[in-house]
Amino acid sequence: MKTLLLLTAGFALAQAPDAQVPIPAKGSISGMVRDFDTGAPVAGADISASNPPARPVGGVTDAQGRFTLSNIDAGRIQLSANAPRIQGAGFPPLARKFVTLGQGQQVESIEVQVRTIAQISGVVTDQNDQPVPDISVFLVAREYQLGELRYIFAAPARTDDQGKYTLNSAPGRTYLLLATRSPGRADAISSAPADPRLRRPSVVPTYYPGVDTVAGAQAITLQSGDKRENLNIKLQRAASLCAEGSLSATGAPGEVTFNYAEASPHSGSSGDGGLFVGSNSGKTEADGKVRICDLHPGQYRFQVYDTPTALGTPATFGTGLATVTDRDGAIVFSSLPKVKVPGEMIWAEEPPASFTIPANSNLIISPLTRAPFREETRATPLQLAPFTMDLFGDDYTVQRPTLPAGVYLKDITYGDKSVLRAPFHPGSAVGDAKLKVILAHDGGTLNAHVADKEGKPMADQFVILLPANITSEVTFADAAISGQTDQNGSWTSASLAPGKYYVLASRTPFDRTPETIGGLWRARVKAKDIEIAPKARVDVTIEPIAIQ
Amino acid sequence: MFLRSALVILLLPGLAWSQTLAGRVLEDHTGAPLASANVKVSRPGDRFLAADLETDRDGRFQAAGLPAGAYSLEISKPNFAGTKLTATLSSAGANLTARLIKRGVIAGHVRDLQGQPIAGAVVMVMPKSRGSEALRSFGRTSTASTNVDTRGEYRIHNLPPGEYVAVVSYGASTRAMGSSGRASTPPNLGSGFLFYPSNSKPDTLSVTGGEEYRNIDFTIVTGAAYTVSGKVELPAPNSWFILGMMRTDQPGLAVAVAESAADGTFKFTGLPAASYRLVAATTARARNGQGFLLAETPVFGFTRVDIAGQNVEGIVVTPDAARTVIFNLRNAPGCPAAAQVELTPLEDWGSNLYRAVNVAAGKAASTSGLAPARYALTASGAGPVCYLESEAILDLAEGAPSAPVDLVFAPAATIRGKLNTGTKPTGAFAVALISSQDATAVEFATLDAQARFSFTGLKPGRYRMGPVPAGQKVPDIGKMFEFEVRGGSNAEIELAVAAEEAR
Repeated sequence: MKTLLLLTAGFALAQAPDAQVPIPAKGSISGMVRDFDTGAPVAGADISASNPPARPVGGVTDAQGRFTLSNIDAGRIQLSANAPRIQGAGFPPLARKFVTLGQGQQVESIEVQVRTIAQISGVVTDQNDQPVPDISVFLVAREYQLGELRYIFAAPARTDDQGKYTLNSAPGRTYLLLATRSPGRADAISSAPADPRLRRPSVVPTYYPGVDTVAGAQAITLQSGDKRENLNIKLQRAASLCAEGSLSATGAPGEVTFNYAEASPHSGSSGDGGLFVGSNSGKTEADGKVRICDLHPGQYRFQVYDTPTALGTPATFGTGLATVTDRDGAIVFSSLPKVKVPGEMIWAEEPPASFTIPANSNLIISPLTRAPFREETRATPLQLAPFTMDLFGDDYTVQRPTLPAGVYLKDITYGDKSVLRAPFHPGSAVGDAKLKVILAHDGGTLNAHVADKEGKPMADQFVILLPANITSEVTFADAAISGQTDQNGSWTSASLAPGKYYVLASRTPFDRTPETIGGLWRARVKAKDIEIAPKARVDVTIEPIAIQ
Repeated sequence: MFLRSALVILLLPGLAWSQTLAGRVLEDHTGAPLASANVKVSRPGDRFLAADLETDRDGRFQAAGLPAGAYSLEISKPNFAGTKLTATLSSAGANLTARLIKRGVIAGHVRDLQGQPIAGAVVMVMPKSRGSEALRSFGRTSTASTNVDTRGEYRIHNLPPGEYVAVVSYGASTRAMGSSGRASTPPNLGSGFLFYPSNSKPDTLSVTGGEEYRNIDFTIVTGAAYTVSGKVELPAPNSWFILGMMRTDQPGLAVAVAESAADGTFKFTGLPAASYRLVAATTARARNGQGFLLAETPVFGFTRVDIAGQNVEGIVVTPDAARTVIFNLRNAPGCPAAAQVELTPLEDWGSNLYRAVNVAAGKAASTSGLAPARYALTASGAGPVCYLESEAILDLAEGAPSAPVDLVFAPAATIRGKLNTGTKPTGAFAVALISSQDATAVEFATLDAQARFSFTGLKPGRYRMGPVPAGQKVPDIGKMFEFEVRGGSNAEIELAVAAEEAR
C-alpha cells in the first residue's frame, strides 16, 4: 500500500512538477445510531450517505450502534438510516439527517435517530359480537393536500379467521384506524333481492372504535417500537341499497368496465409513501346495463372506462361522485376520451442570459386518488418549446420539477388558475386552457442558522418558511417551504420568490397532518418576519420553538 | 373422493306460520347455534334472490312475505364448509335446520433454541397424498402456507377435512426466493425445513371437522452449517439458473434455493450435513409465490452432493435438454374422450415445474420442456363416471419413456341402497363410506324421503360402510362392514340401523 502511494506521488511530480492539481481528498462521517424515543443504541441499522455524482456509501452499525462511512466527497451530505428490517414486519421508516462535509474532513460523533416499526392489533366484530374474517383494516392518514383535508389509505391489514388483524406502521404520526369490507368483483346485474327489507344490511366502513364518521373516530399516535393491542373495532351496518342504470363509453351503448368505492378515504400518497387500494370492480352487460347493490347511504366515487384490450391505458375514462340516499336509486354515466392539454414553459419576466434545463427535470403529473393506468403518466421532459399532453378528465397532482440553481418555480397554472395548491383537472379550464409552467430568476435565498438561547448551533431542526400572503391553514401545507439543519445548525434555501415570509424552526418534522399544520399555524405569531428582496441573500438566526 | 360438505336435516312442516321461511344454522360437531351465517334464498328461474339473510345470535334466520313454492338455500360462513338445501314453502311456512362443518386450524410458534421468534419463516400445511408418496412437493397443490409473524406466531385456517403434516421452511426457501427474489440465510440459523415434530417422524394431523390444533410449535436447532459452491456450464450466454438443494430422502422441499451469477457460478450457504441432489433449471427470471418461472425452452441439470463435515467446492453442473413425453388417452366405453392431465412435481426445484396438458382420445399429445423429475399425474374431467386407472407417478429422472405414456380412463363404480331406520325418521341418520386404503376419504350420503342413498364416482378397492347418526363426524369403523367394489360396478345394498339405535 505504502509503495503504491509513493509511486503515484512520484508520477504526479514527474508529470507536472510546478502545477500540481490536487485530487480532492475524500472525507468520512462516523457516529452512532440511536432509537428516537428511548435513546438506546441501535445495532444492525442500515445507514447510507449520499455522495453525488458517485454512488451512495452504505454501511451497517456494529453491536454498539456505531458506524463509519468513508470515501465521501465534500458537500452537503444526506444521511439515511433505518432500524434493522425484521422479515414480515414491513419496512422500518427512514430517518434523514444532513451533514456538511469539507474536503478530506472527518466528521465524528454524528448521531442519527431512527424509529422502530410499530405494531397494532385487534379484533373486528359484528352486531352479534362475532369475529369477522377477511375484513380490510387500514391506517388512514389525514393530510392537507391541494387545498383540502384529505383522508388517505396508509398501511393495510386483513383479519384472519378469528377476526384478528395485525398492522405494521411507521411510527411518529397520528392516524385513524378503519375497518371496511374487502373489495371484490361486482356482477353486472347484482342478484340482491328486489325487496330492500329482505337484504342483509351493508357493512359501513367503520373507524375505531366503532363509528361511521371521521368526527367520532379516535386518532392513534404511534411511538417507535409501540406494540398496541386490543384496538377492537365493532363494524357498523346500514341499509343495503341498489343503483340501477346504464354505463357507457362516450355515450355509445356497449360493455364497459366500472369500479366504485366510498369517496373517502381514497388511495394516494401520504407521508413517506403511498397506498393504492383496489375497488369493487366489474363489467357491465353487453348493452351497458348495471345493477349495483350492497351500497350503504353515503358518497361513492364511480369510475367507468372502456375495457382495455391489453394491460394498457383505456381510450376513454370517466369518474364522478354519486350520493346514495336511503332508498334504491338510478345511475347513468359515461366515459370520455382524453383531453388534449397544450403546455408551455415560460419566464415570468425577461429570460436569463443563459439557462440549461437539468437533464433529469421532468413534468410529472399523476392521478390524485387512484393508481395510474399503465403508461398513463409518462413524465414530460421540461423544455422551452410548446408541448401537448393527453389526459383524462380526472383530478391530477402536478409535481414541482427540479430546477437549476438561481431559478424558482413561480407557479403552474391551468386556465389562469394555480394548480400548485388545487387539483389539476384537464378539461375544466376557463380562460387559457394551457398548462403553463412559469419560471423566474429574480429569487433570493435564505441562510438560516438555528441556535439555542446560549447561541449553541442546533442540528436536525426543521426550518419552515411560510409566504406571508397565505391566509388559511388549508393552503399552508402546499405553500410552505422547509429544510433541515446540518450539524452546524445551518440550512440554506433554494431560490425563493421575493416577498415577505414568516420563518420559524422546530424539532417537529414538517408534514401535512392537521396536528403539525395546526401547530405551525398557531405558532406563526412567534415566527420571525423576513423580507426576501430580488436576488438578495438573507441571513437569519432563529431559536427553535415547540410546536403544540 | 371427497367429503360431502354438510349434513342437512329437513323438518317439514315444522312450527311455522303463514308464508314465512325460517330456520336455524348450527355448528355440526357441537350443535351450537351459528351467528352471522349467510343464507341466500332463491326460487328456481328467478334472476334475483328471494332473500339474502344473516343469522342472529341464536343462529336463527327468517324471511316473511314469500310466495309459496320451491326454494333453494345456500348457507355459508367463513371457515365453514358451505351447504345447499331445498325447501318447499307451503301455506304453513317452512322451518329448516342446517348444520355446517367447521374447517380445521393449525397454529403455533416457531422459535430458535433461545426461544427467539423466527419471523418471516414459512409454515406450510401439506396434505398427505395417497399411495407410497409421503408428501407432495410445495408446488401447485392445495398447500396452505403463512409467514411467521414478529411474535413467532403462525396460524393456518380454513383447512378442509383431510390428513396433514406441518412443516416450517426457513432461510433460502423456494417461497422466500419466489416472493422476494432474494435468499437471505441468517448465519446463526442456516437454511432448511423442519417437519412437526421432527423430520424423521412427522405427525399426521387429522381434520374431520372443527379441529383446532393450537400448539404445533417448532423449535429450530441449528447444527454445523456448510457452503456448497460451483458452476453451471452455461448452454448460452445470458442463461440464468435457479438451483435447489434437495435432501435425497425428502425431495418434496428444497433445503435451500439459489440463483446463478452471470458466469454460471453459484453458492449455497447454511446447509446441514446430508446427502443432497443439486438441481438446476433455466429461468425466465420472473417469479411468483411458487418459485421462479421456467425459461421458454428450459434446460435442466442435476448432480449428487454429499456434505460430510466440510464445505463443498468446485461442483460442476452440466445441463441437459428437457424431457419430452407423449401422452395417449385410452378411454373405456362411456368415459370422456378428452381431459386435462396435470403434472404436479413431487420435488422442489425452486422453479415452478407444474404443467397441465390437454389430451384427447386417438390423438397423441407430445409435451416438451419437462424436468428430469418425478411428477404426480392427475386427470380432471374424468369424473364422476370414470377415473384415471393408469400409473399415477411419472419418473423422468433417468430419461423419458420411449413409448407413449397411456392415460387410461376406466368406469367408476356406483353404490345405491336403502337404510332401514326402524321407528326413527330418515333425517336422523346418514350413511358413511370410507376407503380402506385411505381412511381420511370419508363420504357421507343423506337419505331421501324413501330412506334411499347413493355414492357415485368410486374407484375400485375395499371400502367400509355403515349408518351413522346425523351430525356425527367420525364414524366408528368397528361398526361398519367391509366389502370390495369392482371397477364400473353397480351395487345395491340394504342396511339397517342397530336395534337399540332404531328405537
